[in-house]
Amino acid sequence: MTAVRSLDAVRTLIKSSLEHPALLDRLGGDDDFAQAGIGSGELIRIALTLEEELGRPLEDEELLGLTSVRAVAALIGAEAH
Amino acid sequence: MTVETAESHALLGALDRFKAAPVDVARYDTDTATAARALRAAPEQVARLAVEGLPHLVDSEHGPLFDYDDLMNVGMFCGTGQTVPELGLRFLMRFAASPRASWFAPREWEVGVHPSRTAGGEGAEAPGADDGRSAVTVRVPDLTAPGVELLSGGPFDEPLRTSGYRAAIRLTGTEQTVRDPRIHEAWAEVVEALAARRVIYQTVPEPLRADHHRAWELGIADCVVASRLLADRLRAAGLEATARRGYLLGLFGSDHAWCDVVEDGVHKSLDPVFAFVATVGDERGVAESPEFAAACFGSRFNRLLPCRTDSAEPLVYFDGEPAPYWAMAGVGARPRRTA
Repeated sequence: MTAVRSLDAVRTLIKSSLEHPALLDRLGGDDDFAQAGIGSGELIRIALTLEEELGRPLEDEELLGLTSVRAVAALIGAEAH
Repeated sequence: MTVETAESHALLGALDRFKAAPVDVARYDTDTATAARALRAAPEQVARLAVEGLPHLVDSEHGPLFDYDDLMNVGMFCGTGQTVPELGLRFLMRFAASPRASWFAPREWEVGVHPSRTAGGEGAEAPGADDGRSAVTVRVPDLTAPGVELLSGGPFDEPLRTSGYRAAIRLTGTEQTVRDPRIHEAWAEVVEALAARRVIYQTVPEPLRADHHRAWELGIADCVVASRLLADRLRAAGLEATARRGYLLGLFGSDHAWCDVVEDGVHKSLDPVFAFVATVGDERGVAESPEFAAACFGSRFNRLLPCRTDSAEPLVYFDGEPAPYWAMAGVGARPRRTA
């Protein structure tokens, strides 16, 4: 497992899943992905990237929580400790 | 964007595992670059699909043009576990592996329906974007359905509204069983045909969904086809039944259809496709779950939001015509935030 700890690293990880990575530059940590226009295909890739990062499948409740940069960071941060 | 691509021959393996859209209903309008994005493949791999027999038209300006539903089936059947259709099914069905009580307990959702204007399952545009292209019409939540309660948003007085919407909705599931042998018989006929692979569960183009008997006879079905067929069989047996359509809420909102039957004055949900997937499992990562499959026969889940339809009609229209499959990329769902 590769633990990602900084918010910048999390943003980089999310960017790699986006069709238009510049979109993320306009998002604050708490802005909602779906409301910002991130589509289902991109959410799927974010989830897959996280599973690869964590080395395990995400549970249903964890998938439901993938709504913002800070939420992703919390998920990875929690895993890193 | 950095993505790993599918193995060079993986996509080709899909071609024998599904049935391409009949020519009279296919829409050959997706170019190679868009197809490559949707399949996480290299353009060369997509071009190879055309050479190996995936139906297409050759446009002098854009090269080969494919039917988007065919491409989704390539993604669903290629077996890499990495394409958007495979991953979408895997993630959306993960709730089936959650504790049983979590399928039914009241749950509050924030739902945003802002259909994508961009092909490829990517890049839904910002809500409210008005680019002067086609007029978008969407179906609204059915607030008269059992277990559906509007918390904010609306009003949803008419079945269709222009542009999109955002709403907070409480969905309450319920655990129920089915008694009537006529329902058992119709249910078994549909689910067993899918489980025995006599009918292939695959993406079906919307025009063929509208002719669900033809689709079934061709040996293909998706949730809309299976639910409409089941509703027909139940009505023919003398029962009150309706094909329903709405959103499966989860990581995102996904177009889904099921069947509603009335038994002893009680509305009961029948979900043949969920039952099929949970019965046989899926090489794409959906676990077998006999318990969940059984719950699909009568119970109502807390993450299926029914919309106002008469018989599972399309949820989104562009200029009055059913929107392409990829429009659904702009449907968002999440548990409601509480203060």
